[in-house]
Amino acid sequence: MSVVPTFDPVIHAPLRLQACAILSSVNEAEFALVRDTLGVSDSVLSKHLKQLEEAGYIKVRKAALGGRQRTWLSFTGKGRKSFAAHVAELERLAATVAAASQPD
Amino acid sequence: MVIDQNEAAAALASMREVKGRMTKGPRWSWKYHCLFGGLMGSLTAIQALPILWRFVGLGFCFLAIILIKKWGRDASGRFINGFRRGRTRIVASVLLLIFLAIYLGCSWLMLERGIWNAPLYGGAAMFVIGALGDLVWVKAYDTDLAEGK
Repeated sequence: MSVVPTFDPVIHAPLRLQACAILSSVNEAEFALVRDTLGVSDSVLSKHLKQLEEAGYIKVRKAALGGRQRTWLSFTGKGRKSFAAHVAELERLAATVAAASQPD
Repeated sequence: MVIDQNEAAAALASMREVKGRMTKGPRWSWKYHCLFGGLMGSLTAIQALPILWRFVGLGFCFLAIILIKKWGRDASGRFINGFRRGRTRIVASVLLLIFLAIYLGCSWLMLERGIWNAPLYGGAAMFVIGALGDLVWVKAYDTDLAEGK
């Protein structure tokens, strides 16, 4: 299935883009893994994830392990498609740089 | 909102960089690889059991699949479909083909040639292949991540 390159301002914010990049490489990731990989605080990540959740791009699931609550994050179908379209748009734009920098 | 080409290239680079950072995160231990190999080996070896015990063994294997998946997910902080795109899909497909070849080969040896302990030898081989295959899968996953895939 081909992806139509589409710029998405919800995804494009640097931290959200990186969080989406992490989620695109897994089916489900724990909040702590995303937080530690990005090197941000709980509150900063929560704020960005909330925006992705409100846009319907990610699902948040709570699960208990050893009496401790763990939060799991995953893309929704809509989120995965929007991210793929956004990445395709970035690649299209970046390709114009590469093409422009080619010697004649 | 309009972005320029350089910003697009920088955004792509930041995505590749963060995926590369994921290879430094929590990993699957050698115990996990051995358990996965043990599961593959058990699925092959249970053919040597009498028919009723075969179903009991199969039940235990399915229970083990659920527990191993949960353990791996909790330990690594992530769950990944083994057949995800990239090198990982090739490794998983090869592993599945080897498993099917050994499984069916053992069935044939047992039923057609009367070698009743063939599934035990096949199971032992599958244990080693499964554990090493799982290790190779993780290496393939890390390589994909390091390349931003």
